Amino acid sequence: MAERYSSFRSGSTAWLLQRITAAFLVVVLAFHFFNLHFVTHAANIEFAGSQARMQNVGYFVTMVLFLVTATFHGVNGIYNALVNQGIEGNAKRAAQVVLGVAGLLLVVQGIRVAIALAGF
Amino acid sequence: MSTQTPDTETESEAEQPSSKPHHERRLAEKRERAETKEAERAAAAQEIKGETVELKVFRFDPEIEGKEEPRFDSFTIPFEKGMTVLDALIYARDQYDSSLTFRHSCRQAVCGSDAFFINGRQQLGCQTQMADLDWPVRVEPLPHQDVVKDLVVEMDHFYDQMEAVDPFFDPDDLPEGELEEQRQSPENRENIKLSTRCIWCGACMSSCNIAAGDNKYLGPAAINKAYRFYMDEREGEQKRQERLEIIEQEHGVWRCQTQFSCTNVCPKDIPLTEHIQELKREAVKQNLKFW
Repeated sequence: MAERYSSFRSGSTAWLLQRITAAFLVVVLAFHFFNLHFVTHAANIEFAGSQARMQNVGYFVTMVLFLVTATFHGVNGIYNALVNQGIEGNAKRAAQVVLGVAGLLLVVQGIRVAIALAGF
Repeated sequence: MSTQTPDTETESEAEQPSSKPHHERRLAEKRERAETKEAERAAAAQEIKGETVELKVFRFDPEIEGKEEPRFDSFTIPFEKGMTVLDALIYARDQYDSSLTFRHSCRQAVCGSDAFFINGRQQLGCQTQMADLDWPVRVEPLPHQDVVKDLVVEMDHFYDQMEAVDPFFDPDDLPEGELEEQRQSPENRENIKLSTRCIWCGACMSSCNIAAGDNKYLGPAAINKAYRFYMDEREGEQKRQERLEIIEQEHGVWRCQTQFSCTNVCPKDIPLTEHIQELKREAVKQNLKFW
């Protein structure tokens, strides 16, 4: 870092999004656990019930947002943990690609499942 | 106790093979003298009246045979009320082993030379009372920096990071008169007051987990230095912008994970983590501004 910085690259957007998604996830995770673990116990969760819940548009939208924010938060968190460890060059590029592709796949497949469940 | 290499007699071995008895006698005398001296010193250590404290000091010198392997030496120090770790180290050096090496200068927590790892925590030797520590007291060089010798660590990287944030004023306009002061409001002075206390001791950087793994990370001290100038109302707009661009690089403020270890160890009680967070907020605000 001793050398002069040649280009402007801001980490502020990712940092801000990490915090915003964190705030969103705290609320939605609480709702998720309350709804699907404490009120309806895990043993009583059935496919038909999931299908019924997903047909509610508000619930559907919340779950898709949950998926997108959780994926971003997780993938960005892992990437930053790796950068904190000081990875550079090819290793850093590989981390970006692998985590990016994994995140994208997760979101795409998650939305496909959500649509299938809701029957849209 | 001493880490000096043992004295060896090399002068006359090859020169005078004929005077062997004489040579042997001299060697025997020398040995005797050394033994007496050692015994005297041991007796002196035992003779210390009153309370004593054991000081375990990290020793290492890659250039001296016998000191290449890091180890701990123990020194028995006569304890006095008000004795600091630095006092104890100076006693050990002056009384027992003159090769014991450590940086120190002002002895009053201003110069920032004597930050050590004392009983597992980064502290200034001159600011830490022996009475406040668990005994025996263990003194090591600052972690996460290369050790040059004994308690002396390489500070170049730390200074490089400090200089990377351009730690100097570059105001847009200067006051009219030649002797006119550059005034600052008392409120603004309060804002930056704590950040100006930094003595460049390197304790924060040494305690930081992230700085340990990521050598590019600016580190708490350098970011605090950036804060000191960024928040100063007298700073020029151009320079403020340039400095913001430096600290909001990937390895600038964003690497801070708010572990607060720097704030915990800072001998001048600078709220380092808060300053880093304020600069993060500042960077976000500046980047969100589209008007």
